[in-house]
Amino acid sequence: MSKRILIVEDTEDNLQILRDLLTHSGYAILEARDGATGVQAALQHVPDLVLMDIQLPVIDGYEATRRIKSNPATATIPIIAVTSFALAGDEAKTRAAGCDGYVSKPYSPRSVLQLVRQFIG
Amino acid sequence: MRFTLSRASRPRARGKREIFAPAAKPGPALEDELRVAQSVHLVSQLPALVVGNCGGAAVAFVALMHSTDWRLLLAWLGLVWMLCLPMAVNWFRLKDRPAPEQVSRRRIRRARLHSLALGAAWALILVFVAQSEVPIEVRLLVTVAMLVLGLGASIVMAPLPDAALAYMLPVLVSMLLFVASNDQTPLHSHTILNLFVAFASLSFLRQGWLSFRRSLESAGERARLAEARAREVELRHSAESALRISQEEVQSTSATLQTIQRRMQSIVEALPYPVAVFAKDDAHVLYANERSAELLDVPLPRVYELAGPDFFAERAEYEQFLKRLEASDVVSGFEARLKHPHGTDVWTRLSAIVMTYGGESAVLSTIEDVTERKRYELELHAAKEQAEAANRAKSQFLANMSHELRTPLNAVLGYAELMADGVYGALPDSVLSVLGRIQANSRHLLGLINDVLDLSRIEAGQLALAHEPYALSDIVASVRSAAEPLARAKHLEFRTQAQPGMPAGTGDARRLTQVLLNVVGNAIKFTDTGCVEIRACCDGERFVVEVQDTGPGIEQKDQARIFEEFQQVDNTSTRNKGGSGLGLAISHHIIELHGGAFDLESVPGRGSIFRIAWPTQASLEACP
Repeated sequence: MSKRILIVEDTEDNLQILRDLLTHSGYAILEARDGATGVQAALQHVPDLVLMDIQLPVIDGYEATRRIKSNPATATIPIIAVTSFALAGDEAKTRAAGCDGYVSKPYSPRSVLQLVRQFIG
Repeated sequence: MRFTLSRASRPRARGKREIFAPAAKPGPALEDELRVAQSVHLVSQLPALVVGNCGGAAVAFVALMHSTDWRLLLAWLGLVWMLCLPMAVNWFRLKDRPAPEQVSRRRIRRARLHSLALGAAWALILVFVAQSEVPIEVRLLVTVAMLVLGLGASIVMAPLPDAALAYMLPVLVSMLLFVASNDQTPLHSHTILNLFVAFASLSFLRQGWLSFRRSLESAGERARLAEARAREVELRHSAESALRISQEEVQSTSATLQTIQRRMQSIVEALPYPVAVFAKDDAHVLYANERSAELLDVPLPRVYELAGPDFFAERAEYEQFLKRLEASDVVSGFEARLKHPHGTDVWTRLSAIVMTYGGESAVLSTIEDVTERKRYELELHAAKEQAEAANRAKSQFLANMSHELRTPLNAVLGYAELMADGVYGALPDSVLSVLGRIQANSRHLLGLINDVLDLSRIEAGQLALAHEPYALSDIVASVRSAAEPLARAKHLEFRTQAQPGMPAGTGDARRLTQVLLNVVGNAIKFTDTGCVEIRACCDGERFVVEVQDTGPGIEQKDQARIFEEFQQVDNTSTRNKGGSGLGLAISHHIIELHGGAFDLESVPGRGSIFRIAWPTQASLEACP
């Protein structure tokens, strides 16, 4: 059974790029378009990996990450922040919230794939 | 002149032996004094002695001349007169001459001998009187005259008792002998009279001597008294003059004090600051200068009706001020609002010191009107807040811009890559080529966005440097791996050279890499043939990196300009070579933030050397 990746992303284009990239590489995709839904989906489906945008409606990626990491049922799921916050200190902030990886936009889909594979093969 | 003789040691005349003796152990000074006084007395009495003796002798001569050999008698008279002659001469000679002690002593000695001689001469008269031819009346007359002479001598010569005795004794002795031996004169009453007169003479002599001594002593005492009085007067005078001087001093001191006080008062009055003195107990105003009244905009007398708390706009500030004053006797620069009766409060800076004023504990306060300054401060504060808010807004704007520009760019680059990777199916070469152009331009756009954002951050002072250890050789290696493919693509020789064993540096490795990449990238971009070389070394406490190329070089006049924003040597080349013209400006700022500097050596047509040097340990101030 293919690995399942939860993409939490509110921008349709970016969501589609990741979906196209990852499905093309053989991963199963779960989607959420805001932070709260993302947390709920993680709890419901317990994916193998989460790609988390930071600027999100309802609750932002930092908060969503904290919730997922604070729930024992989902705490072990690796989370990679995929964000346009690319300024100095932004990576540290995502790490502080509990993210395991960090990719800044604009990213190369190839490098995202590489990182995903590092976490879940 | 000193008198050592006191009243108690005055001679007590008891018995003949003591009578003529000098006073009991008189001091040498008194002895000398006595001699001098005796000498003076002697000289003064000389005329009386001369007259008495000459006259007496003449009377005796007249009385006896008829009953005895007048020639012998005349010879006797001559003898007496001859003896009197030196006395008369001496009187004329010495009457006004001072008699020092030595001279006086000599004179007295001489007078003693002289008296003895004269007394002996008088004793000789008895030879004539004893002759039987002399009638009894004459005898009586002569002896009585002699006794009178002796009596007179005992009175006159009392101060020189030994001389007087020397004068009287021969006469008395011979007379007694004469009376006793001559039974032809059976006048016992006469004998008794003789004895009585002799005794009286001695008694007078003693009395005279004692009174002379006494007068001399009392003269000494008077002199002592006079001296004491003189001393007392002198003392009084000096005390009076001292008193006068000190009174004058007090007067002049108090005048000086008044002058100082007036001066101080005018200084305090002239001070541009309000000055007031408050009583420490109930805080009422003890003193206030005109400025205090001006500050509060009330007449000066009204100020004196106020007390400390009336000045303050806020009771709490007054209490705080008191607390400060209790903690320390000096308070300076206490800011407080004072009540202004006709308008807004006055902002002041109070300085106070505890002092004694007119004997009571008081607080001297100087009040500085800082309303204007306070207003500026508040305005400045507001302006600062505004600027900070603007800066925050700018930061937020930068962050938002960065975010908002990246999001669509991400879609462009992402789709392009997926398409190029065949995610959406195989594409013809012509489409792939166009896709490559889209990707290149998008990356250029991303570079521009990054540069503009960097520059904005630098201008806003918001470019934060990391402060972490790094190895310069690692930076050179990563620059090499990034730049080498570019150089290879242009068929340029590419060399790197890093000094082995360089110490670790502290600073922002990512930014330093960015700087080196920029400079090396430029070198490759502008060099068409030849080589690009990176040389890194450590020179003391500085890293020095040289980037040498064989490019076109930069004219001297353009060398400073290339570090400015949006400048390339030939602006038309921007289109040919690409690049925003921001890279070097940003690199320059980054190196400046590290405390270092750029240096450029260039020969047009031959190439350039960019030399970048910065401290191995970036100072913390440069890394906010």
